[in-house]
Amino acid sequence: MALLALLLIPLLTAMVLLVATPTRYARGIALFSSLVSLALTLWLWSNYQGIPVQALDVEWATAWGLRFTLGYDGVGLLMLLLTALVYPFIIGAGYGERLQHPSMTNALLLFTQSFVMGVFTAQNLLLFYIFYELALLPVFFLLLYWGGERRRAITVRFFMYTLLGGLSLLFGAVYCLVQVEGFNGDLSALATLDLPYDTQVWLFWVLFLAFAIKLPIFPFHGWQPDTYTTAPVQGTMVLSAVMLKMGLYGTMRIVFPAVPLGVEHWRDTVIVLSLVGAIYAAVIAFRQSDLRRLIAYSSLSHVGVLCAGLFTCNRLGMTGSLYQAFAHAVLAIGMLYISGALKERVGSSEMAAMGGLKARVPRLAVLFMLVLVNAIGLPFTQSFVGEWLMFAGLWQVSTWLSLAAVSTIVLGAIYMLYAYQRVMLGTDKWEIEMSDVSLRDHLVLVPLVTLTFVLGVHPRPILDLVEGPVQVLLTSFPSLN
Amino acid sequence: MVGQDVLVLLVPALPLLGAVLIGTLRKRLSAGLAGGLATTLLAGAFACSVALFLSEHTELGGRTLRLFDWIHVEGMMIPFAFRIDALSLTMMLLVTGVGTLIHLYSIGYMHADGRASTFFAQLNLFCFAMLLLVMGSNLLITFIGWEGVGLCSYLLIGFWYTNPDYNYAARKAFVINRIGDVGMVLAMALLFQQFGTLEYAAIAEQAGSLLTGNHLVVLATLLLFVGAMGKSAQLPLFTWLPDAMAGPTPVSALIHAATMVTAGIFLVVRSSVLFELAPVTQDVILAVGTATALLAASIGLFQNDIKKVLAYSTVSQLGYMFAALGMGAYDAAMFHVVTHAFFKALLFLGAGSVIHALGGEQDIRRMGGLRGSIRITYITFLIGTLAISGLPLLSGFFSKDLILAHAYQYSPVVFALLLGGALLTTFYMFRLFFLVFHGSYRGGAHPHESPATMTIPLIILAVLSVVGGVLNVPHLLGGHEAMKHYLSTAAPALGASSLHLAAAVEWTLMGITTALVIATVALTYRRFAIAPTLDGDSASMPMPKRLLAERWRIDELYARAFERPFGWLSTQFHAVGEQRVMIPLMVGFGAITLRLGGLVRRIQTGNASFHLLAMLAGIIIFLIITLLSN
Repeated sequence: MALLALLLIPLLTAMVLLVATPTRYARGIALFSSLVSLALTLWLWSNYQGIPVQALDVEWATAWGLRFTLGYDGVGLLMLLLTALVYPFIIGAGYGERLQHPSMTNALLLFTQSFVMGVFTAQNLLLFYIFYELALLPVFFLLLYWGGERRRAITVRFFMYTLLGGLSLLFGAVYCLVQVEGFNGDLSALATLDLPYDTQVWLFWVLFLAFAIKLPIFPFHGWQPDTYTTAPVQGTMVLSAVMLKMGLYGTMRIVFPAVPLGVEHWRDTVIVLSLVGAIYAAVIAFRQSDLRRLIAYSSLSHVGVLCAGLFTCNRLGMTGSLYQAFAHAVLAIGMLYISGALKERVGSSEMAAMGGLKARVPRLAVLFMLVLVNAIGLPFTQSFVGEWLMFAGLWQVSTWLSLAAVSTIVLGAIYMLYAYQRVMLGTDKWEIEMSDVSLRDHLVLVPLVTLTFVLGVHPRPILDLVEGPVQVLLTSFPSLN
Repeated sequence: MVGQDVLVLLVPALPLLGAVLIGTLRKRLSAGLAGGLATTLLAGAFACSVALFLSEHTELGGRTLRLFDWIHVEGMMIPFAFRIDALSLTMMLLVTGVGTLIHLYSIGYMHADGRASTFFAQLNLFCFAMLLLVMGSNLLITFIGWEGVGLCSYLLIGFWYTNPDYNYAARKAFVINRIGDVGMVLAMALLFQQFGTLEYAAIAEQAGSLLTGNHLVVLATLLLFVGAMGKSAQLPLFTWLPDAMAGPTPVSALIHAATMVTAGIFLVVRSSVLFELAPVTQDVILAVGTATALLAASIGLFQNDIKKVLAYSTVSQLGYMFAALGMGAYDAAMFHVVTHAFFKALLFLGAGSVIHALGGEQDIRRMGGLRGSIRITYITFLIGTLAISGLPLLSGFFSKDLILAHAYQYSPVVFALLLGGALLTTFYMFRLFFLVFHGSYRGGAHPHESPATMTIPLIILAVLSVVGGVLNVPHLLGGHEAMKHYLSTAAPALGASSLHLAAAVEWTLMGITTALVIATVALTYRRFAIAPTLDGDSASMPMPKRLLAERWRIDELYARAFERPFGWLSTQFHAVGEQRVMIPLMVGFGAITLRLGGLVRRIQTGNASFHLLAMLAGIIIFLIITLLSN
């Protein structure tokens, strides 16, 4: 029941917001709802025994292989935690964005939360697919109605990309259901499909395409920079902090067990593509003049390493990748929040329009620096733990690939510090009044920064959570380990 | 041993406490109070280090103090632990001792700066990171400190953040260090795969069974050395250090002379077991160290910025330490780390006192004749100059002579090169000294001596620069090589190097070196003390000299070969890769899909949004039914 509640709390709150449109209290109600979800998720975590939980199993359209089955294991719980944790911040960030119709925007955000929770708990392939597609709908509306310049064209492109991925995933799912006798769509049964090698080789791309686009990895990222830049801050937060992890989660929950031979076949290709993308995006980020776009490319670069880590198919790489997924969510929220806070003060996210802000907003500069050290993966931040595990995992795959991956720590420092300089440092040229961090800024940024360092020094709780599932995954790849 | 453990913990904890306290209360603390607090806490850490030095039984090889499990995954266990042995204790004493003096000095130097408390918070944070670096029991803990000192270095170089040049210098330092870090991270990944652990002690134990020249060990040591190259500013990664002089002078003294830049040497010494197994790497280190020592010294000859001269001197001296490491003389390298920390910190702080006295002037062409007006600075700076030049019985004499003796034993060529470097050192140091303190004053300021908080550290460091040699007096001069014996308990390689030169040979080498050094001093006295010849613009110089004055144009070379192409690449990737390939691809793809969508729409009667809405409604109804039926 608790799992169902996790889906229903945001869903029902969203519907109340839509119907009642309590403009003044919309954010407060949404925030309350997200905090209840967080409390509930923490409660689930405290009761988790390390054994996968099957919470709900109801007949739906069993003949088509569709059952309403909810449950979670360590990785699912990690994703639930991550989602539940970032939503209060995402909604809180909305207090700064002067969007019209706050009840509408918050309802859309809560819809995404509900469906994302569905993605992370669905234990049936088709149910997963349904939630996976549903989760995007509210984001389209956010982008279409509250986005920046050229939002229509960008929304259409974004929609096309995702549609292609979604259809491909649906085809793959249906193929599995039709082809394999006795497969009822249960995710835990994916590992027993035992498809022929040749089938796995092509089916891999059919299944993986959706996730490759969602993450996205090179060269499937065409939608990402524009969308991240144009969407309202909260929309981008949802996309990069939460939805991106759906790609990662889907890959390890569906692609890895269903087509392990296909994964082995394409492993090096995917790692190379991911790392090419990681370096390519990091190089591009250096000369970006818009902070939001720089963050978009930075995210693309981080995701490349993340995906490469997952595809090492070894313990260190996969553990690191999952750990990093959590770290990246915290990082993305922090970075995007700061870009929003700056835009609020300066009126633009063009870095050419900034510079010398440290003299005016010294506390914001310190907080920016604290978020930034996580972005460049200094030890004792969350990112370092994840990156180190991924680098160590990649080393076991190939010396050259790990060299490529590790080179991103140089590139990251190059573009991040350059961005920091362009925003914060230099002479104070401002003639307008500007307030330093407000209470709201503190309430968002201080917990995020604290979390970054606490989990950087004490990563144990998260590492323990993923240990079991990673162990299970390893059995999919006996020849690689 | 509980009391001992608390002492160990206090050493890094006190400066960390200072960083956090001063950092959070920086608005409410006055400059003096923040400085006083920072200095007191670090002095406390020094006291703890001294107590540990006196009470730890390092002759048994040292011990590990394990605090908690940091990164623990099945198959990988990285504890947060400290290694307490002769090597880490030596470095702890050095960092906290010299650090305290420089903190004290900073109270005077930074008293008028509006952000002095931020400065002290960052300085304390630096000490914390540096202590983690030297105390870590495994490579990953060292790496925490390694990156931490890099961050503090970045923050402090760019401390005066309104100047874009300083900000650039700060970024440059961080990025070049990060290039080295790539080597370090890969080395750790390799060593972990090879040994299943990153603990120094465990690696040393397992390495005992490996053969000399093992390929993986050679690769690992080369990668570690790449890391050391970045942090310790060796060729080709040295260009950040001279630029790092943009930071306040105490920062240059503490971070960019006495402590952080010796981290690379420390790393090699800490991993001596591995380097002993990799003769190829040792040769590379010797070559790089010697080349750096000579190249940096040659650049130092014609620089006119007082801090730049000292910066190139630091690069050059670090080259000497690496040359020693390349010859397997770990004890000589460590000895030089210690004496160099004394006299180079002294020289930098002296330079700071000069700059302070002249209201910010750094060009030695506009100095001169200062010996009358800033007496204490003059005398202490003279001592520092004599020590770095290696005049007999001063600290630099013992440590540099030890390296030269090893070089002679290794190969006369190396000896000749390093001796040449030593003479260049004497030349540029005395040129600097005479141009600053002798002759007549060529500037327009009113020089005044610095306050006591600044002169007291100068005096203490001057005393140390004079007597520092007693730490390791060679047998030849009636000593017992005390430091070598002390360090050898940490790892056998640290005591393994031996000189078997005949006493007559050693005396001769010493005599030749000293005679040449004195001759060089006489030469510089004639050229720069009596009637100083001042260099004008480098463009008007004859060619070889101009090349030196323009630092071999290495910065320009790097800008052309790396920085500009990188910027170009960034623009091109975006303009071509993204704008001309990705977006048209996506648009074309979108158009096709739209057309397909149009076809599908004709077949189906409904529209997409209706379907989605129906789907949503279906799910909601279903959920409500499920909820009610349960």
